[in-house]
Amino acid sequence: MPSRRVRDFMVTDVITCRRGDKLREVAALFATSTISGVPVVNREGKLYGVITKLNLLGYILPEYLELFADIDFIQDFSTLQSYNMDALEADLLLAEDVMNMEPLKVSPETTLLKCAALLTKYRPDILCVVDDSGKLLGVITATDIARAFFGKYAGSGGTPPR
Amino acid sequence: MLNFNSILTLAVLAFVYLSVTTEKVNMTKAAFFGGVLLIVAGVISLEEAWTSYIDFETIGLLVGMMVIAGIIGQTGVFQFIALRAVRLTRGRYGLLLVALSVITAVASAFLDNVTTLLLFGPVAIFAADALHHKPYLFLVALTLAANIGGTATLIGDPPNMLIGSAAGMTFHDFVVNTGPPSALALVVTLGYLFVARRKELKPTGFTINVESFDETKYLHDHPTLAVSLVVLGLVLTGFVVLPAYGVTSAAVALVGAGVLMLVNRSEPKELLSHIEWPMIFFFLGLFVITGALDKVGLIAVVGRFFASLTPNPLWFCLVILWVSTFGAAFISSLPFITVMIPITAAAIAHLGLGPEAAAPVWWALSLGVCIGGNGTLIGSACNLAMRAISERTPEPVNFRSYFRLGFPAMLLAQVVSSLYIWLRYFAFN
Repeated sequence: MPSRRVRDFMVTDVITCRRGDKLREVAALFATSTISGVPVVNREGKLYGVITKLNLLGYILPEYLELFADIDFIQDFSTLQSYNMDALEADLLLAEDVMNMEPLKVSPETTLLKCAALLTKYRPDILCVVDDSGKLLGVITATDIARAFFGKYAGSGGTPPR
Repeated sequence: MLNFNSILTLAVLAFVYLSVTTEKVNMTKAAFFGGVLLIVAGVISLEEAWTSYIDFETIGLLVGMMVIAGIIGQTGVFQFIALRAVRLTRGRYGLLLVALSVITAVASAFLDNVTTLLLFGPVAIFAADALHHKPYLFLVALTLAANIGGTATLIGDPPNMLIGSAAGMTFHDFVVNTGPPSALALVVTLGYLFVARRKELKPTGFTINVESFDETKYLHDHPTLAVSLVVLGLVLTGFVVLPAYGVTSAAVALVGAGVLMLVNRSEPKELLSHIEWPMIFFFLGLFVITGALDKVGLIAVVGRFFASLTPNPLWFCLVILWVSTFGAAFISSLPFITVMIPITAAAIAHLGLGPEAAAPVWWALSLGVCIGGNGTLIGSACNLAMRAISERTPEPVNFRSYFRLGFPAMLLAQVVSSLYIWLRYFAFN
C-alpha cells in the first residue's frame, strides 16, 4: 500500500485571519462554523500562527488557574472575573495577542501516519500544511485523517448503540 | 597579597554576583561554573573543597527538609488551610490579608519560603480575583511574610541553616532568639502595608461567595497527610531534643525524609523531584568559591576590616545587621550570606569574642540577611518565585512596584530588629 500523503487529504479552502484582525471577529468564526482552528497569515499567505478553539476558550479564563494543580475546589466559576472576556468584548484584543506562534506544521508530502502520530502526541486541534517558504497551503485535522483511514468501513454495518 | 589566585577568585565572585543582580546568567550555572573553574585553575583542590569547605550539614538539612515539605505540600493541606481562612474571614479584604500573611509566615518557618509561596500564592490570587481586587498587594504581603517567617527558625530559610551549621546554633536557639523579632517584624511590616496602601484596602463592595468553593476537596489523601504530620512533629521534636545527644539537625531531617519516602507509595523519582537541585548545585559552587576566598586570605582580610570598625560589641552587631541587610537586598540573600558567614567568623575571632558574646552577632546576621531579602525583588529566591506567579495576573509585579512596598517595609522591620538586638542583648547587661 503506497503511503498516503497530506496533499491528497488536506483542506485547501481554509478560513484564515490577519494578525491585526479583531479577536472578536475571529471568535465569531468559531460560532458560525465547525472549524477547529484559524491560521493567522500575512497578505502573501505566509503562516504566522494559529488560533484554535481551545486557545480561545483558555484565553477567556483567568490565567492564574494554570497555577493550581487541581481546580476541583472551585464549585462556581461564575464568581471568577474573566478579565479577557471584557477585553475581548471591548475590542482591545487582536488575533496576534492570542495566537499560538509555534503551530505544528507539516508539508504536503508528510504521510498521514506521521500526522496521526503528531496529533496523538501533541494534541493540537489542527496541523497547518505549509510549503518550503512557509506559505500556508491548507490544514488537516483528525477528522480528515480518520476519514482517510476508516472511510472504507463506512456503511459496513457499524451498529449504533441503542 | 593580590596574586593571580586572589584576582581569579575575586573575578569569579564578581561574575556570580553580577549574574544574580543582572539576571543575565542563571545564578546556579554561574556559581557552579565558577566553583569548577577555581578547582581546575588549582586555586583550591577538589579534595579540600570536599573535606573542608562544602557544608554537608547544610546540604543534608536542605535536602531532608525539601523532601519532607514536598511530600506534605502534595497532600493539599496548605491550600485547605488558606481557603479555610478565606471562608472564615468571609473575604473581608484587610482581615484576609492579615490572615493569609500570618499563615504564610508560620508555614514558612517550617517549610522553605519558595514552597510556601507556591502553595499560598495562587489561593491569594483566587481570593483577590473574587473580591475584584488587584492581587499584587496580596502577593507582595505574602512574600514579605514568607521571608520574615523563615527568619524565626533554623529550617525556615537557607541562610539560617548556614548560620546554624557554622555557629553551632540549634533549632531551639533560633526559635528563642530570632523568633520574637520575626514576629515583631511581621507586625511592623503588615502595619506599614496597611498605612501605605489604605486607599487600596477599602472594600470594593464585592464579597466572596463562600458557596463558590469547597476547600475540603483539597484533602484527598488522608493517610499520607496523617503520616506526614506525625513525621513532621517528630522531626521538629528531634530538632529540639537530639542536639544535646550530638545528633545534628541534618541527620534528623534526613531520617524524617527517609521515613516519609519509605511509607509513601509514589516512585522515588517523583518523591526526589521535590529536591530543588538548582539550589543544591548553587551552594556546591558557592562553597567552593568561598573556600577559595578563604584560602587566598581574602576572608581574613575582610574579617579584620569589619573587626576594626568598632570595638563596641553592640555597634559591631548593628554593623553586621545593616551591612547584611543591604547585602541581601542588593546582592541577594544566598550569594551574600554564604560569603558573609566566614567573614563574620573571622571578625569574631579577631575581636576575641567567646561563644556567648558572639551569639548576638550571629542573630544580627540572621535577621539582617533574612529580612534584608525583603528589600528588593532579587533579595531572595521567594521574591523571584512570587514574580513568576504574578505573571499570571493582569498586573505582574516588577522591580519598581516591588521596591516601593518592600524596601520601606524592610527598613522599618530592621529598625525594629536593631532595637531588639540592643534591648535583648545589651541594654540591661
